[in-house]
Amino acid sequence: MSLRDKCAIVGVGMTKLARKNPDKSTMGFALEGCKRAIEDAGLTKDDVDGLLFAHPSQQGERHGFSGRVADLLGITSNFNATVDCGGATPIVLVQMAAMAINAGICHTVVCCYGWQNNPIDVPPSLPPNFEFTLTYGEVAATPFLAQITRRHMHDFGTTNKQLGMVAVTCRKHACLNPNAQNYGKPITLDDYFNSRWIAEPLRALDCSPWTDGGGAVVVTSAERAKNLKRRPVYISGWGQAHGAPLLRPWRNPKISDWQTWARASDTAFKMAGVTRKDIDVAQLYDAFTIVFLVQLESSGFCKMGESGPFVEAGKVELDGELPCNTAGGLLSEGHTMGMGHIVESVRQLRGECGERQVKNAEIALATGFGGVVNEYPPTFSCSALILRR
Amino acid sequence: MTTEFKLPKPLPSPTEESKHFWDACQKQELLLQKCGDCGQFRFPPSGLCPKCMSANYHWTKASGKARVFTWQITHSPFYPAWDPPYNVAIVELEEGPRMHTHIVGCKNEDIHIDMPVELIFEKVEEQDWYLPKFKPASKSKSSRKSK
Repeated sequence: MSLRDKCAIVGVGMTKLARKNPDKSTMGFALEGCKRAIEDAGLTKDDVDGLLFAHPSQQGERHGFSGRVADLLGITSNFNATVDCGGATPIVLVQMAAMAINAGICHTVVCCYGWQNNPIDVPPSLPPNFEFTLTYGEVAATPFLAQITRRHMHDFGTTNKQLGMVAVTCRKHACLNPNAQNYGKPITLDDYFNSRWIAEPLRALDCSPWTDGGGAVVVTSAERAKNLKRRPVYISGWGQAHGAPLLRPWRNPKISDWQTWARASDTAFKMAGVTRKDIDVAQLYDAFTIVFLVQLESSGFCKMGESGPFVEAGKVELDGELPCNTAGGLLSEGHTMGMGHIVESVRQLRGECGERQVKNAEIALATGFGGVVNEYPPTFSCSALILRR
Repeated sequence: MTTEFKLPKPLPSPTEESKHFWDACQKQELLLQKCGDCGQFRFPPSGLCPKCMSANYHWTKASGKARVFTWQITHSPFYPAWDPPYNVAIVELEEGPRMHTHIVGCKNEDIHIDMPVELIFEKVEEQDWYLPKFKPASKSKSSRKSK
């Protein structure tokens, strides 16, 4: 039985996004995102019977987080989980919600995210025992993605200018999104080249910012969606893939082959019954510029190694052949672990995006990517979601 | 440039699976698990073969020959124990597995992908702990000089 178009996203909400926003905790942002999404759908909390939370497992382990979000919202839920696939998680939540609804476990699920970078209730702590990476001074995501960037440059001739074009394009789009963290702060390629090295070959402007904030989406059955306030956005296809290609050379000889990512989007396109040419607007995971480039390739919009020239030709700009990251992406709207990518996809399909609206957008793709980069083996989780109006 | 606030370099805390690997490093030996059934070498240490799921294995001394798979230069460390800029490389061992390491004995600018390197053990600064690192293989050194 195909689950294509059997569920829909009927409500979306984002909080204010900022580098530092001491007003709310991780929980506080999650709650605000949920409230906004439920109200956007024209529902009340009593209409919701499922809740999923995307939690980056840092800054103190929090057991039962999703249960507490539900209780603090006053929701009695039949389906609840805190999920950790890194940046692949928000899309994974939507997939889980659709599966649970189709299984008859629940009928309306809120999928939410929240994050406070400097929580006052968690004392600073040393990193965990990253015995095979921290020992050599490699910690956090940037240096690891720098390793991947170097290899991509070597294999395909990808340049810093091409990476910079990703950053500049995302920023350009963020300047059309008043809720973006970098709204009103345009950048040029010169700014990119003048930004400092974090881990060479990645500069500060190759990296998404730290973002305090949250967001949520409401998923329900296509049948219920028909009678709600908003035009439904149907969930047409999805896919996931997980693996550790870097450390398993006998499975995947080249790091930049990214077969893991390709599998996630191939599954989603097959389920949705559409082709790459049918995608009107795409939100590709872009915690780092290199991640965006490789997603262009593994999502099948260009051949392996051709993402750099694809971006350089302006094809991912708002008026290009594949408008991407129209709200600014993680790089410039803010790092909401990819929840922003789902919210923006829905808004584009509803035609609510004002200046940054892609004309007649009917079918959208969003992708997610989570890298567990300091633990050995470094694993990747990939997720893809195809939506249509 | 020295960092204002500096922590000692963190040592690994061996786990039940990795203890034998780290113990061998202290004797300046790089040991890998070789699957007792399919013959696959693996890293990181694990109770099961990630190729055939066999629980049979034996620890085998690695040849110490490797090639640079990729590398980065950290300029802005998230953990203040090293003086930037410093390199961290991922090398592919002759036996197949890849691992993080430092390339020593050459300038950062001279590191390149596919560069042949060989194992060397160095003590962590001011601490009694040997880490496997890699230096340019003697052959590659002379061939690059002759360019």
